[in-house]
Amino acid sequence: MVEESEPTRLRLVEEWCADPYGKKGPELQALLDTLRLVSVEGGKPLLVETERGATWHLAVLEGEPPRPRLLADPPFHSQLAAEWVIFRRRWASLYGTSLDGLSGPEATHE
Amino acid sequence: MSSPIRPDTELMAYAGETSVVAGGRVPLKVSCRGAEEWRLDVVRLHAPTTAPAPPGFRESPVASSAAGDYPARWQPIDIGSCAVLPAPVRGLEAFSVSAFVWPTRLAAGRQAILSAWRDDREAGWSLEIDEGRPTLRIGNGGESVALTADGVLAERTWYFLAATFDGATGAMALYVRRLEGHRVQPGPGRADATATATVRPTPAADEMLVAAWRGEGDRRGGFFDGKIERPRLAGRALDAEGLTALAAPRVPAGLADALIGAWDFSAEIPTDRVVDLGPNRLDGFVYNLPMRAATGVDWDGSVWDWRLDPAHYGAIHFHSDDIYDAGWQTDVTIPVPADWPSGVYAARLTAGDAEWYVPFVVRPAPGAAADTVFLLPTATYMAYANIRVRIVSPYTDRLIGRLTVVDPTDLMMFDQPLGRSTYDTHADGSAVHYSSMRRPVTNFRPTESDLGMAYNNFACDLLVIDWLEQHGPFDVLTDEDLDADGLAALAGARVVVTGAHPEYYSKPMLDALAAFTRRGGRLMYLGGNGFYWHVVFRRDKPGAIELRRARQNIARWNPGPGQDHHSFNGAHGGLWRDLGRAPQAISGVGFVSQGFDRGEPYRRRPAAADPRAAFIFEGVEGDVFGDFGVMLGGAAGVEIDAVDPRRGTPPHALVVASSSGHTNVYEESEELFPNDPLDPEAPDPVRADMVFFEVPGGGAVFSVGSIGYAGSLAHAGYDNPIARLTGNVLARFRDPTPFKMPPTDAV
Repeated sequence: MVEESEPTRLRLVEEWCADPYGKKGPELQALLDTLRLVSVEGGKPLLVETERGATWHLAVLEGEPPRPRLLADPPFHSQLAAEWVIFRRRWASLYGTSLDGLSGPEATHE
Repeated sequence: MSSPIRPDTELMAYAGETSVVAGGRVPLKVSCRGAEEWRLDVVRLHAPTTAPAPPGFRESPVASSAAGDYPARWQPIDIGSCAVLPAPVRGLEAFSVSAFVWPTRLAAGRQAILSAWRDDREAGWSLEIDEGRPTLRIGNGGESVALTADGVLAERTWYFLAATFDGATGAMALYVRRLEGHRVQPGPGRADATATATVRPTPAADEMLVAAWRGEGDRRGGFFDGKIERPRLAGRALDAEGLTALAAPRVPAGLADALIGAWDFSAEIPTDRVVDLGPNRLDGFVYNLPMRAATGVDWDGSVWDWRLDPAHYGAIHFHSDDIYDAGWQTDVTIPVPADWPSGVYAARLTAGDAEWYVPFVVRPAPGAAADTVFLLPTATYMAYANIRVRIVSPYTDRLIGRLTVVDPTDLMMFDQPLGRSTYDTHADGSAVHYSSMRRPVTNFRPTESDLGMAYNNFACDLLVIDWLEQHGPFDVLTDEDLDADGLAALAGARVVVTGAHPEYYSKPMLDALAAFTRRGGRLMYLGGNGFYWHVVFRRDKPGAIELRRARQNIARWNPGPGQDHHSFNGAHGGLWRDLGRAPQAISGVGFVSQGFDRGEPYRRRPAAADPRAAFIFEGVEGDVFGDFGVMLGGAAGVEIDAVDPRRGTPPHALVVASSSGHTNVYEESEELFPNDPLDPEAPDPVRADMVFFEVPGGGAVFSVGSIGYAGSLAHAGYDNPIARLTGNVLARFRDPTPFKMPPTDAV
């Protein structure tokens, strides 16, 4: 559940969902700059293209020397869907709240 | 177990030649496991993977007698640098060895300093570091003993290490001295550790290795990370005074009866040779391009160019992940018949679920030159070869405004020791100064997972190739061709077209391009961040560059104090701007910013209306153009350049269009900061400038100042303002009518 105490941040999430690859205002950019440094399952998340332009898998790069590890998520057929999954996990890790109730950028774009 | 991010079949390859003339041959070296055989097809490459956006991947089969199926074999990668010295170590009853040592990665475990040692057989002897402790190991092929000194070495500190062995008594001794300051020599001292060996060493070969030993199959291993200077070998067990004398730059005559070899790393720095100062002349060689011209134990800050006093540069910095040549055997040689036109080709290898491309260039035969030459920026490919930092860095997602996208080929560098790029650091944290294509390179291929981040330069350049193919014949040359042959490489050419990111340039390359435009030649710079860093080639090391990013405060790039001069030729490294040859002087524009999230269109500037620029805009409608493309959705983006008269933009240069409004991911480049905005009428200090200017002698230059530009050429079936404008320039540049310099009052 999304806490009522973060309406500003939620407004920024909506802004991102509306145009995830577009220009960002300074507030959203600052949020993204923070969010995109957050590790996922102990590693740096990677989007692995396993079928050219059609299928992607989520993995993380972990350890030293770094090694890729496949995450348990099913394959994605849109980069944006995978972006949203990682966005939510980073959000939960950073703020301790869930965005699972939101429909995400793909729904916004449909 | 099968994983979608790791193919069941591992397939890698590289070529022994990247550029061949028709009639030449391309040796292909392949390593494959998980399949019985692999297949070779030869293709001509036309366009990279871009689907669903245009142009879409395009290759065409080329009939080749080499095509076919070949048996698979696994070839290990020969990574790690060392020196091999032909020392007669077998049969020595007693010996002394010594060196000055500057370790950089003590946590890596056992590392050889000087060895006549077969690690798999425990045979011979080695002076090594084991968990940070100097150790003398002696073995007879079945049993070994080790003498380990008390105390742990500190990293990036000079030590004098020596070891002696006396076969008559079995006495082993280790000497360890930490050096304080620079010119301090080891004085007389006690042995730091002694023991009596119960075995006698039985070296397998008459050689001494520096920074490595031999292992199974005679392969080199046990690589040391750090600097070593003045390796010495004597044929008896010396005392402390004798060891001190042995370590002197010139070994005193009093040791003539004992001296076997005294090697001087400060001699012949631009080569692989290691010179023995002793009477036996046991000269050796280094392997895999360790860092020469490295400051040594006598460097005191008074010399910054090794050519002025090589004695200050008596060290070699070895790395366990140095690589020049993976050392594979040739599986098949592709003959290049005389009727293959100049172009970009590839060996396409397939095995099971794996695929690997090995691109190569067929350059024009002498006298068969087309009027247009595409200059494939292979120096840039070398600089970025196997770049890890974009995958590993937590900052990448910020820079690109999305998740880091890779594919299983990219991830092979985490399973196999493919070596680093010049953007990475070595395992010991030091900068990577050499890079080579004589190894499998994961980002030298037409199939990339992400076209918008400037590391995948070859695929982006195929976008220019694809567009050029719509405009008649052209030849292809590589950076190495231009470096080797200079202006002669461009004989017969009227137009030179660059790739999307010709960032790394040698002096001969710059000189050739400058001379070309001043003799009536026309330069179309269809990229960004061009002519930027100084690199050096070495004739006896084809496929490799040296790069010293001098005067940079970016820690992972900095060569370290006193090490700004290339070992290949002594020239000062760094940005061409700092070396008096700013990019603006050749192309009119120079790098100002980068961002990997989004591209923008260009907008006409007032100079677009100048009659001198009329030919550029014939048939081009609208003030704003280029708001499309496969590289971030805009023609101006990724890495972008702008004019700067202070740095050489000619006063008569016309800035006919500029971009503006780039996202706030675009920051002014680290190495240029602070970068004062110069043009008060420019729409934005962070922008790409499109520039045209004439050159005395009838030549001309057209520059777009953007890597992303190449991604817009094929939009809408090449029927778009970017393609039309670029075609206009190409057509005029091919026209032999000389360009006239505009009238000026300047003197």
